[in-house]
Amino acid sequence: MSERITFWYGCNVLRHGDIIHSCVDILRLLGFDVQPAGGPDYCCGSAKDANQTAADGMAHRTVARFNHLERGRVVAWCPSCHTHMTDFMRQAYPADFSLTYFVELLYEHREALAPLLKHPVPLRVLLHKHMGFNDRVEVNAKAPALLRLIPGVEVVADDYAAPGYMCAQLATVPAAMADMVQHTLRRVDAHRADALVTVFHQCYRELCGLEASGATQVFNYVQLLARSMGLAYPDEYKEWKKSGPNAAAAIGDARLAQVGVQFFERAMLPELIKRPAGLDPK
Amino acid sequence: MTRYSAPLAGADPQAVATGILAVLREEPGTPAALGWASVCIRSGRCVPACPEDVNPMMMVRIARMVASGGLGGPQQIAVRADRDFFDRVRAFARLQLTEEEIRNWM
Repeated sequence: MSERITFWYGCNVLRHGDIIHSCVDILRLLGFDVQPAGGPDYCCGSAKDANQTAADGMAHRTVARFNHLERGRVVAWCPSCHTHMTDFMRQAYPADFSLTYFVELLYEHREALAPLLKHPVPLRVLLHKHMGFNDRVEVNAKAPALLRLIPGVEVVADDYAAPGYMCAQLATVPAAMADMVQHTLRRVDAHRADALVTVFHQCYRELCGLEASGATQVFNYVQLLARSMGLAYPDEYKEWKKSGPNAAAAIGDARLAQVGVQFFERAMLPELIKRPAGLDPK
Repeated sequence: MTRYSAPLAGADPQAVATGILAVLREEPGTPAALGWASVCIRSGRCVPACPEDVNPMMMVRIARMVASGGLGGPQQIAVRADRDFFDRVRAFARLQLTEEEIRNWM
């Protein structure tokens, strides 16, 4: 019988429908009975540091919902959710489930994953690593091990790990983000890498602006796994990012109407236009 | 990250840590302590470096919550207010997930 798991994808990765769909497909192809759960109703509360009453309410509700699902294991995609569950949520509220990070799960099942990776992806890639979360889950070793299962992928050996546990945090200190971006691009050049590959979606959201600016190709590791498996979900976020001020046209009138043009222009378009600090405009 | 904070330039580490402890007691923080809390992005390099075997990263994380006014006290550091955070997440979901997925996955 298939193991029943909750795939807790988080909030911000909802920008990247292709990543969510690919993860769900990969888990199902590995034989798991998957219930995806995420978005604001399953928020960990880490976005509410300045309001701990709200954060506590979210934490309590999410743990209760996972308990109610009666699945023995929650597999977290987001490093913030994983960290917040470990450090705060499960400390405060009894959790009837174990917690695994997505990279860990794939690594545990790498022997079953390897035969699914049938299509070559000829890329020489530099993995974008961070400090911090790697002390909890060894993503800096396990993510490249997964990438090396893909025929055609070459992961270059590089010992640089960016400060902070992900780029969304680093971006709050713009001078540090700029230094990291410049340092990373120098390493891409030095290694003659075809692409930079992120582990976390928070980094992908920030760094795919490098591709939009012509600096280097950027992917999330799951996108390369999916490509090798023949899963063909389009990376719309990157396309919108590349479109920049013309993103509305790429999204199309019908879908834009679903979110509202005014809301799109005020709350969504700015991040699609934004490019990483430290990038020389080309 | 400390080199990216002007209030931390030349600061005495012991005094900065003492300032963080004051914030945790919900007392006013020193500029250097608040500077540390503001630029900490959780690299975690302080954890093995701490001679007292405590977790400074967690200490600063909680100090940041307190200094942000998270426990109801005065706000001592700048907070990024993003009133659209959750609506933006929902909007991106509506662009890429089916109605059925939104109903069953969110």
